[in-house]
Amino acid sequence: MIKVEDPRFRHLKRKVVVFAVLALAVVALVILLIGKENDLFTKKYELQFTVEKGTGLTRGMPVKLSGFRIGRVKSISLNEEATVDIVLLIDQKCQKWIRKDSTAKLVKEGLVGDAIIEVSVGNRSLEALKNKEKLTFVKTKALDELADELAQKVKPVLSDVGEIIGYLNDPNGDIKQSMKNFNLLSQNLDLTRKRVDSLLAHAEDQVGSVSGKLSTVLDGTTSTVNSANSSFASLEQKLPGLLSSAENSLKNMEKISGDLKQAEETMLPKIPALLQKSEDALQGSNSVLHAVQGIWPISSRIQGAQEKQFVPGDSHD
Amino acid sequence: MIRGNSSVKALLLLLLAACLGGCAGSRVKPVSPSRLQAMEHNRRGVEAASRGESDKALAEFSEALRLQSSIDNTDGMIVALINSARTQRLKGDPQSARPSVEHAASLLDEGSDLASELFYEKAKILLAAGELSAASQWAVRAEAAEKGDARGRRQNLVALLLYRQGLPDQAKAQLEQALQLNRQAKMAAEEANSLRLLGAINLVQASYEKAGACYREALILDKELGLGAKIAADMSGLGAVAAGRGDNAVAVGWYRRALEVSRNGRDAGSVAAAMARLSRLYRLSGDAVLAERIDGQLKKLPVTGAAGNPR
Repeated sequence: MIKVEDPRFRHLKRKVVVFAVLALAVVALVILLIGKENDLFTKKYELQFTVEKGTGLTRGMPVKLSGFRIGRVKSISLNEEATVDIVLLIDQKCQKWIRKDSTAKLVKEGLVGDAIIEVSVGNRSLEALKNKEKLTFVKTKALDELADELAQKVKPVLSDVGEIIGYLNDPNGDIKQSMKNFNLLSQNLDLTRKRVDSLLAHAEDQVGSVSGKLSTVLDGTTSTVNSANSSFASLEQKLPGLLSSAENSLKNMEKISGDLKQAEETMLPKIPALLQKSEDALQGSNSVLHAVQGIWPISSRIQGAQEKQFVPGDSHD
Repeated sequence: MIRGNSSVKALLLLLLAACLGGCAGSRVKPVSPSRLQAMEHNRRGVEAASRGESDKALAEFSEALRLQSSIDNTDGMIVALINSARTQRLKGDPQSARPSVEHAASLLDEGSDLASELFYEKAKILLAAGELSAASQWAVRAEAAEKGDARGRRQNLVALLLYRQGLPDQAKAQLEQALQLNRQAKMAAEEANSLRLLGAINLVQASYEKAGACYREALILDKELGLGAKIAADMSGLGAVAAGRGDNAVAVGWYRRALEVSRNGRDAGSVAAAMARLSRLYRLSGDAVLAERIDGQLKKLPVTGAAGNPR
């Protein structure tokens, strides 16, 4: 049987097989790389902890130790006590660092970074935590709690200021009493001046009686001056304490304003750059997200934006 | 044999090419930025309305309408107007909802797939305004125009209007159909609505067994969906069934549970309705002291609208 063969199709079978094998090898390699990237082939073990609220915790959230990703949140579930059980999936090779005294806490990477669970390195003298053992969760302070703390610190200063103002305004206090005495003194001096005038007017006729009256007036003046002296003495005694208290409060206020100014000077220049970075990061994430959404088979799983979306309307509402 | 092998290889190559081609392709249909923005505002509005933030929702729908108008996208405008009208109606202001729905109607093309939703909303607004006859006509039109799987919901509204107009037998027939359609479409909330209204009709017709079964089934569905007001309505229905049978102790139990659900759901209207039922039942049982105590509590409640029970 004569067999005519086109030279271009020589070794076609081998070429097709090589091409197919290469394609399959590339697919397998991609799967392997993705698997390795997602730690699919590393040995893992589970750790658990319980929190009051699951706010900020999500499935798949990274778990880091000393800044390195060592695992992820495997599951989040509500238990019978209405608290939240969290299960972490951790690389087996990191087990040696996570000891009985290790703690987990929910933190943010930077000011606008992602939330992660940070696990602390435990004391080497203690035993390492085993599979499914409980890890201690440490609650981190939220912004409102920090604001409360600051308010607690400022409260005593404000209370001091309030006390000083109260002391100054007290009608029976030293300041008000001294002012009253000053008023009395000026009134008495005025009266005295009038009496002296009248005495001088009648000086010629009543020289004899003047000496007696003059001595009375002088007695009155002396007592007034004595009263003024005692007021001055009392004021002099109280003034150092008052001034010291006022000085302390002013120092506290000066310190607070200095701290605030420093915080403002440190933070303000950073804010525009920070905002710009956040915007860039958001735009970047958006682009990545759109690109990922367009990739098959993800694109087939994502519903396009719905134009005909309605507020739920119950027939018997 | 050679030909057979070649076919298999060609098929294999074709599959591989399709696989790789699929990786590279994208199915996302391009949409203009203005339209996307309008759709985003509409989505945010729907979410805000679901959370009960009516004012925020109305602002979002207004922005969606403006953007859709700026590109003359009629369908988008109708959707924004229907959503706006629905939010105003649910806020308790059907009069303000009317212009939106009329504007939407003026934009509607013949045979549009938005017709059913628009007619349905118009019927609901008329029902809220107490215009039962007109509402009934629009509800029937909405049912006729429905092309998707919301036929059961439309029929539920038709049935409710028939029942309110004093036609329980016709309402029952509609509800039987609506129940089947809602089950097929897996619309659990609407299925529960069908069952609750069927329960109410059976109760009026003194078919206590059927009424009890309907209310119990509705209660299971509403509990799964976590709809507090509907759960309270189902429990009140079960209380009424027990009272109808003369089992006042069981009725009191159901009414008390309904009262607890309404109180914790902060539904003042339903609380007042449940208290009134309890008081009436205590008085019928001869327990005037308890009845008067409840009446006293009832007087202290702020004045509100009627409860959301279709009965």
